Amino acid sequence: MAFKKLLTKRMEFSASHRYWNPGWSEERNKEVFGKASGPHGHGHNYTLEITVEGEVDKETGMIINLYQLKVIMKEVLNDFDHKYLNEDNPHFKELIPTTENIAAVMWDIFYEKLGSNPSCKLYRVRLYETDELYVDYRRVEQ
Amino acid sequence: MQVRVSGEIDSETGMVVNLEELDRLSGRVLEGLDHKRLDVEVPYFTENQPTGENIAKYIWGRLKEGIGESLVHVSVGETKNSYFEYFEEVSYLDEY
Repeated sequence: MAFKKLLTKRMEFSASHRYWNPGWSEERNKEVFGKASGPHGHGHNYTLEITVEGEVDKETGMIINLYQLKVIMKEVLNDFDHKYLNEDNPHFKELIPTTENIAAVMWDIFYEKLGSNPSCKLYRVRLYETDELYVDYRRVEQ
Repeated sequence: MQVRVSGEIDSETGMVVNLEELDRLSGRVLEGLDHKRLDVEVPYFTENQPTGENIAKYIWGRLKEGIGESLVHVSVGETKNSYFEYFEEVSYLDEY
């Protein structure tokens, strides 16, 4: 019988963004994105949850040291925290920084940083844009 | 701590499990941990590090004895910014 062991760490950051598709007319952008298409962007206090799955090490009793995970998350969030994502973060030069896309970009970054070792690998990225809205992003091997 | 159970709704009671029974069983497990120095006073943690991972596993094991099949998921919060989950992998459903 196999059991799933998950560990989740939460961290907050603040960023601003603008929803704008350059391939569309101003009217079309306004119609689809509404207020989020405003020329000066707008901000959110995001909460990021990183969930790691793996095996509990016999000697440490841990999947991953939470402090180590905290360091990794802080390092990644350097490129997101207090940034205007559309302009300050290269991932969003051609990708609209929706919550969905931010979560997807973060999946790639964390998957790479944590490695694909089955004893400790990324399980899920959950990104809260507000208390009332979050996106779950996972990639499951078939 | 969060405990998740899953099952059919009993036609006579309209419940998956009796909540009072679930409270009683969970309470009994927590009584063994509450206000304890885990690595000294709880035998399981003299052998295993009292990390969140191992606490979740311990709680799963103790609850399973009482709840049985219906128990599907245990989650233990350590701080408001971290929590640990323990559940059985099922092939047809990746996650409860």
